Amino acid sequence: MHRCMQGQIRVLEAFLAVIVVFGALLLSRPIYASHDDSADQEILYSIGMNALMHLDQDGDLGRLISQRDWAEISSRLSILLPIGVSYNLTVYDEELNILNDSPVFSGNLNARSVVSIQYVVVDRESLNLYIVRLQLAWVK
Amino acid sequence: MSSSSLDTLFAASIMICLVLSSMIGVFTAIQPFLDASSSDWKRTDLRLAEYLLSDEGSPSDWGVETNKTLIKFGLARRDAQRPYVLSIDKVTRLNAANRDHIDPLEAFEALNIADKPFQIVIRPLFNVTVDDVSITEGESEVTYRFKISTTRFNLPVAAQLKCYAIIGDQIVEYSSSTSESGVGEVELPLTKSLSGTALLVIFAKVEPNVLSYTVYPFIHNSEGSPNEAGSYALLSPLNYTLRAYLKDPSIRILYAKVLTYNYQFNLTMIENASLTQTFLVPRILDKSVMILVGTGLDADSSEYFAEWVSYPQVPLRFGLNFTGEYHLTNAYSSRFLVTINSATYECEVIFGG
Repeated sequence: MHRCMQGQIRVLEAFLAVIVVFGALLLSRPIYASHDDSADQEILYSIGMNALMHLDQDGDLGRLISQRDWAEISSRLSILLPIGVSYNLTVYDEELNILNDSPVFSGNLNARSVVSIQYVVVDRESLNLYIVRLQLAWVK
Repeated sequence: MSSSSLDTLFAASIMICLVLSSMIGVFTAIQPFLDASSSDWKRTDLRLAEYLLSDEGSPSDWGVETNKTLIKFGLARRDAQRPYVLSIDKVTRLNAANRDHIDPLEAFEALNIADKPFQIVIRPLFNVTVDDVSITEGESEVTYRFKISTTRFNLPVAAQLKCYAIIGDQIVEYSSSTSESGVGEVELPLTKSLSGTALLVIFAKVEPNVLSYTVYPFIHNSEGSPNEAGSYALLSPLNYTLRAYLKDPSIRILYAKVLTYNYQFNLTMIENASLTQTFLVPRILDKSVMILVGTGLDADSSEYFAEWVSYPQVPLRFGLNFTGEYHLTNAYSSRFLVTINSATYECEVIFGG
């Protein structure tokens, strides 16, 4: 009789265990991490383009490039970009020769995704054309 | 079935209920965190934020026409040649301290998107803080020295400074700068013939046209503390007009001034009613926020009081307050640089899910 009871309890335990497992399956769902960072790249692109447009207000960016004032460009970019974004700016002439002899950067771009923005700028006085490439990444 | 078996069954049932209910609880709590991985709503919210700052809304002059019903919400200036140039009056009407501010619910409805709560934060890109250093009393004047700090997220910012000290009709100017460590000092003398609340107005500028300001009230040539803001009059600017709503008919604003980074002018009074005074604000072509100051005499103490307001009324926070963890998890924030009155500010638009 006692053995018979033990058997019933085992069946009951197994039944309850099945309820727990199925309940867990029903109530939870696969937890996965999304690796789609295209929206983040779009946000970085928006931030960078917004900063370049403000930097180029009143033709200031073209003038500063003509004067080769890389320190001032770096200082202005640093105040316009958010704290958590690192950048690297490269300026090319029409023949795609790099003009900035000293690096214009803040932080490092050793991130999973780096956004590159091309911006064409003209100095209003000399009418020289420059291509600015701004690379941005979220600081790790 | 024996009583011990029933006990076992009962205990097991309770355990199952506890396990399942805790699973439900955990699942409910982490649901927004799981949903937060979606990229699509980030893109949608970015586009919506861009739209809010690039569209002028309807009617396009809702910033100055306070009687018209807002049909479509947008903050851009009507004749803007570039994106993210905002109307000084539309921005000013977002500030709850303005007499003609719009209700956040009105803005939600005018956005024409159901269940999309939002918050707009507009602020300078860096902060200016003031500390007293010393007071030197001379025969006819008192010289105040202040320490000025310019910081961005506690990191030092080197800035050009323009300071004004005002009491009654007297105004003293001083130009200075903060060093690479973000610290500078200013020295301003005020005449001993006047007493009461004085204001130290500080504009800090970093190229390209990034402006910040602070206004520091202090007591001059008297005991006690400076008057609290709004204790004599509430100043409310809109459409290049300053309205002073006086607390008492005996209170009068005797001198009203507008200060910018490069200029200062007296304001012309165009209306003088028992509880309101109206002044015209000139359209100054200076890339700066305007600080409007009103001073007058306290009838009881015969000392000067001072009230002030900025135009545009920034910094400001408008809309839903995203404070709860759940709301914050479901919210997405976009950051923009915006131009108001030719000066650059930071604008954060936060959309709820």
